Amino acid sequence: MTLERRILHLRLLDVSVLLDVPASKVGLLSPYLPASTGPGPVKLRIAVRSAGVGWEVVGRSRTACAPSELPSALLSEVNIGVLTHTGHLAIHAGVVGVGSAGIAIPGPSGAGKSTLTAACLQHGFDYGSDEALCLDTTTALVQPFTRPLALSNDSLRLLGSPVAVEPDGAANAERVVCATELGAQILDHPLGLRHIVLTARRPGHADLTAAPRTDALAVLLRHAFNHYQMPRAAFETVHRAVAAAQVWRLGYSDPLEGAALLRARLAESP
Amino acid sequence: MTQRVFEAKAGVIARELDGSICLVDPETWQVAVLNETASDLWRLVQVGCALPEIIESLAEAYQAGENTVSDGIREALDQLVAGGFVLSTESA
Repeated sequence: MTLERRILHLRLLDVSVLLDVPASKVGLLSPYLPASTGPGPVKLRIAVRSAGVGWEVVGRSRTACAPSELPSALLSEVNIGVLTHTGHLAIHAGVVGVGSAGIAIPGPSGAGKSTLTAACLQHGFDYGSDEALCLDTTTALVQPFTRPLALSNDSLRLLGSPVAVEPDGAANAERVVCATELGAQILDHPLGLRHIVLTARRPGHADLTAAPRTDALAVLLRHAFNHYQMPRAAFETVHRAVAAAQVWRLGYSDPLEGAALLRARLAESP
Repeated sequence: MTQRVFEAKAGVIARELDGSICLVDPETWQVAVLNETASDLWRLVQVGCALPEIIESLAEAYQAGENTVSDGIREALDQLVAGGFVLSTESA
């Protein structure tokens, strides 16, 4: 039997994506995808095909997944493809906004960026990304990369989130969650990078102190994804962005307490 | 008698931020943020300097004896060489 298929044209950052998916799955996937933009120069092609009792996501690689894992597997492939093809500099970081200020929370995978970002959304910040700080290499402005958040069941429990936790789900199993489900606005325009928050998980109450800008410069450079495509421009962009930002060190154990402290201090910071 | 000469590796990018020199090697993506003394050292090795010249110059700048500063300078140079930012050669 041949499945009816649907072609979706998306644009994420400066990358046009062509998604070739079974028509029956458009409803399942569309809440997690940006609005279709119509045909244009395609940089990235990703297809979803049936494979046995599950699905296969075919892009740069082939990923087999169970039906319940399809949104997560597809978004992961889109995420990797877009960050590989973008002309912006991408750095591992959560990004939120307040007013006209962009706030970056850099860190490696597994450091708690998504959880702290989600906690920030619950405290009224706008959503920029839970994955990548994307800087325009011409203007050094933050370009929102507003993919859905990837949160573990543990994180959702910790946050007391309104998003349903899968009762039988493994603690570290990831759920794909839209920022709007957490009550947040999604950023849709570039922002200046006003604050960079370096984090450290440690026991005790949350604490926010000013830190040297050079610390942030080193951290951002070390967490860049695609600097190798444009090393000189990458360094110049990070240097320019950091020189215009304030740098903070947040020590925390409870992400919600950390987010509340960020809201109280950074929302009013000039 | 030979002496060690130090010079910045070609292509390494240096920018100043809040008084510190920040280095990146675009080939390896090694990153270093230099303290004040190491920043002064970097400015000297950018033009290529022999070790005795470096020690003499920084001792004068810091108004300290050459014996006082030489160990710290050697250590900082070794770190810059190990990080791939500076090349060290023996010169007659």
